[in-house]
Parts: sequence; structure tokens; C-alpha cells
Amino acid sequence: MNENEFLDKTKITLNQYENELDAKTLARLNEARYRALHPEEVESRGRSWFAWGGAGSLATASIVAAFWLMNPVSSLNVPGDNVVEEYVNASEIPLTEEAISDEDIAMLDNVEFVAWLMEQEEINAG
Amino acid sequence: MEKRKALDQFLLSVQKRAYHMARIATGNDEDALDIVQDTMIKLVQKYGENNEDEWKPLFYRILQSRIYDFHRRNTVKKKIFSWFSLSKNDEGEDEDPIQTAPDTREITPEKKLQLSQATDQLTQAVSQLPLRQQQAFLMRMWEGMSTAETASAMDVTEGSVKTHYSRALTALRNQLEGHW
Repeated sequence: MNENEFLDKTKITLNQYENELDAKTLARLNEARYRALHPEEVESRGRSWFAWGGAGSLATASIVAAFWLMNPVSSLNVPGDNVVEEYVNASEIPLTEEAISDEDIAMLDNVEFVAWLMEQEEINAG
Repeated sequence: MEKRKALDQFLLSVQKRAYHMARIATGNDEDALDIVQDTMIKLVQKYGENNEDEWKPLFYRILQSRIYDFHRRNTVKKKIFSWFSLSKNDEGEDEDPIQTAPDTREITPEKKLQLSQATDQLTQAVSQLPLRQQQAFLMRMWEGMSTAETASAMDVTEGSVKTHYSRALTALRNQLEGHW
């Protein structure tokens, strides 16, 4: 095989190799070309995601704020200054650990519910 | 707009070859894709407004420069890892994982089926050439670039291109002619 024949065969072989690209690699090359030619779109796409992220955070914060304003958290009554303690004192029930069950403790933990229960009792009695 | 269209056409015409050149030089698909993408971006950013005739040598110049950078980084990495390997072996510890890692140039059975025997032998032989010879050979013979264009892309003299090309051709003929 002389030099020219060798070069011809080499060229044909390399051209064959060139066309044996799998679809995935070809797609990535096309994507790379697109990125190179449209940097502003790639950037703005990144920016729009960032903007959407910011808008989403702002919307969530607004909803939380609106909910909080519409449903203000009532101040909890501190021991010694709350209706539950007054109720317990008035009922003359000895408030000892032995005297109250776990269920009672759980219920007493829910101060607002107990206050509501007392109110209902007062209304019924009145 | 017209310029962008022309650039798109140009990049489309060179992307496959550029990828294969980078793949042969690096022995790795991912690195080859990264190199081609960097090259495209740089060409568009820096030389997109140049004359269309200038794109090809500029593109290959950037590509070769990126391939050199890759090899430079790899050489540094290898030095660092070999240093660690030596110090570890001194202490009788485990082998360097880089040394034992599978060779990415190895062609898997699946790929072997895809590639014809001739292509397989040729790409293996080209990948074993010194980098300069590889570049001179592929740009001159495959891409059909002139000696002057190749010299510009490789940033060497035309005489140097001729020498590298001639050596590459001799090496490939010696290696392949008996098997082809």
C-alpha cells in the first residue's frame, strides 16, 4: 500500500468513525452549540428560575403574614394569672400530682380549651 | 442574525470532528464534550464577529489549546497522585486508586461491535501518538487544513507541522499496514 492509498483509507475510516456518534452524544453537542450561540437565553433562563424562586418565597411570606394577621395568636395566660388556676382554686380540688390523672394534665395543658369549657359551664349554669 | 446563522452552520460542520479529536486526545467522553463546549463558547464570544474564513483556524486553535490545558492539568494531577502513591507504598499501605482505576480508553464490547475493526485499530493507533503528532495529523489529513492553518492552530512553525505530520504518518503506517 503506497502513501496515498494509506491516506485514502485512513480518511475513509475516520469519516466512518465521525458518523458513528450515538444519539445522546450528538444531542449534547447540539446543546453545547445552542449554549454557545444563545448565552443570553441560557442566562435569562437561570435568572427566571431565580426570579420565580424569589416570587415564590414572597408569595409564601405574604400568605403566612395574612394568615397571622387574620388569626392573631391570643396571649397565653401565665400561671397565677389565669382562669384555669382560679377555677381550680375555686373548686377546692386538691391539685396534687396524685389527685390528677395524666388525662387531666393533658387537658390542663390546653389552656384555651379549658377556658372555653369553663365559659360554657358558666353559661349553662346562668 | 445572519452572523449567528453562519456561526451555527460552521459549528454544526465541525462539532463531530472536534469531539472525536478531543475524544482521541483525552480518552474520555465527558472531557471531550466539555472541551468542545468551551471551544464553541470561546469562539462565539471572542471571534464571532471575525471573518468567516478565520473561524476554522481559530476554532481549532482554541480546541488544541483546551486539549493542552487538559493534559497539563492531568500531568499535575498524576504528579500529585504519584507522590501520594510513593509515600503510601513506603508505608506499606493500599495502592493508589488512580493507578488501579479502569482505563477509559479501553473499548467496551458494546463499542467494539459498533466500531469496525479498521476504525478501532486506527483510532487506537492515533491515540497512542504524541499529542503534537496527533494534532498535526488529524488537522492536516482529516480536517484538510493547510500547513499554514495547522501551524497557526498549533501555534508552531510550518516546519514543525511538517515534521510532526511526517512522523505521525510513518508511525501509523508502521503500525497499521500489516493489519489493514
